Amino acid sequence: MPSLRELQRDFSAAVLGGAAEPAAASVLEDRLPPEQRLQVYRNHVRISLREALAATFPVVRRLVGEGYFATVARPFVLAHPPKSPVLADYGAAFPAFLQAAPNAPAYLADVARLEWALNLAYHAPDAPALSAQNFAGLAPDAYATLRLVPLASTTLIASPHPIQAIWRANQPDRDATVDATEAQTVLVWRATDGDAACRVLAPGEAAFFGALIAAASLGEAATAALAIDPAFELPTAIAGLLAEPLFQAPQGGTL
Amino acid sequence: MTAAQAREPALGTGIGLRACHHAAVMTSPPRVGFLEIHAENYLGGGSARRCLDRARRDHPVSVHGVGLSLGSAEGLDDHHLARIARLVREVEPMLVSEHLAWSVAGGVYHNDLLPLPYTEESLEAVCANVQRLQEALGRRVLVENPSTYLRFAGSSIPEEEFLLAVAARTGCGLLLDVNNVHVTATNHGLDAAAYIDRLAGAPVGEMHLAGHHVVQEEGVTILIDDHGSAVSDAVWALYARAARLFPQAPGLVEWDSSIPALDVLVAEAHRADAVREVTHAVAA
Repeated sequence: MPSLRELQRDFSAAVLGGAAEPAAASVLEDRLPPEQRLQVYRNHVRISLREALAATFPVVRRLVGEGYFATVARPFVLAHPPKSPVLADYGAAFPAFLQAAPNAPAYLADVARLEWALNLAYHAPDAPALSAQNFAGLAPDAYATLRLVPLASTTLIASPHPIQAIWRANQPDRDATVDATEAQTVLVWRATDGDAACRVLAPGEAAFFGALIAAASLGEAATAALAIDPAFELPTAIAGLLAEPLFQAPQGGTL
Repeated sequence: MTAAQAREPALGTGIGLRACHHAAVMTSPPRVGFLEIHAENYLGGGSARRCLDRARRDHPVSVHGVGLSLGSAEGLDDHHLARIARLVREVEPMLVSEHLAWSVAGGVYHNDLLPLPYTEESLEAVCANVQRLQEALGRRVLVENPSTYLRFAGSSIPEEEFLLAVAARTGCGLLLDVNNVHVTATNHGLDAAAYIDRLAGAPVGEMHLAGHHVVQEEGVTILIDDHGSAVSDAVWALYARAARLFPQAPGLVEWDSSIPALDVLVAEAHRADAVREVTHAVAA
């Protein structure tokens, strides 16, 4: 009889693709072979983790179909089993895994990144967001050097594919007709109603938010945006970034 | 049966709160005794947390952990324990419960409630983990009997005795999942009614009801605890038996796969209330 620690390691290996024999040797033979009883757990672990991925990446599953999804989820689950008991934490590595999956459509990994960002937006902890009040009393010349920190629920995804159009066309009530072909940069956040939201950014706006999220100052971000879009206007962009909870409120309330 | 034992339970039967019912629960609070959440699904903020906060205004709430892994030889995960303790502080639930099972080994989680060998070594590990949990929460927890599909050759303690020993050594209560008793007893050719009878006098603080599905493996019937259907007749009969023994323990209906409309769960909870009432009327 192995120690409890050894038995749990053996059992873990048996259900996640390793050898079943060490665990089976500890199982009571009772009308069915030990391997067959272990198989019940092996099936449940694998199927439940595949279903957890499908719940976080429903559009990926719809795009590739049930069969392909199962084919790609199986090696993922064995190579990247969860490191957290919270299912919403599971799947961070799935987009990169899809990038390398054989015969996957080119846009699939980026659509998966969008779904992962939406998952983060939905499950992130509540935190105070930057608002217009935080700018009260700030001298106009101080704006340019401000650096903002995104909320844990905010992500920007730049893709050469129309990923938001693909994602939207593959919602349960849509017929999968994609109405865009261009590259899309998508901002994902948690809206004030508490649910995840996303929208496609215009090129100047995309450069602006991309720079801010990469810790550039407001002035540097505006310069980056103007280089792409000469019509970019900083006041409009600042109003836009305050319209939704995107960035963290500063410690103590003042910037 | 004494007058105290025959007293009605303090609460009507509850239902498990699931994300697909959040909108319905926010619109119109279901007429049930209480709502139970899976702790691991409410550790974030946003709309799930708002629904929980709303549910707390309308109902007593119970927090049911599924990821603490009380049976781990490696002990409890500090980070996860701290998150659960924080949730419990914020939610102030009427009950907190977890499972007699393990789900992590070597830092890898399995999203499953895996079986323990029932030995003195396991008993010490489980009791140490339950004590640590109760200390971190500053309150008593309930430990639930699992559904199992295998037994270990080295097990030396019957499961019900193991649970009684955990309760006696740690002061925890028990969550008697009647469907799990039926599933486990069937899978191992044991007597479910006798299992429940042997718990008479145990500190059972809650009971669970759920559906299972039936598979045949080489002519052997195996029940799978998938919480994906209505409660079976055999489990209703066991529930009546358990309700007689534990008249104060509120019941709870769980449904986790092929989840039906909220009304269906509420109707199942009302059926459980009716079973209790008949049982208690007969007993009185």
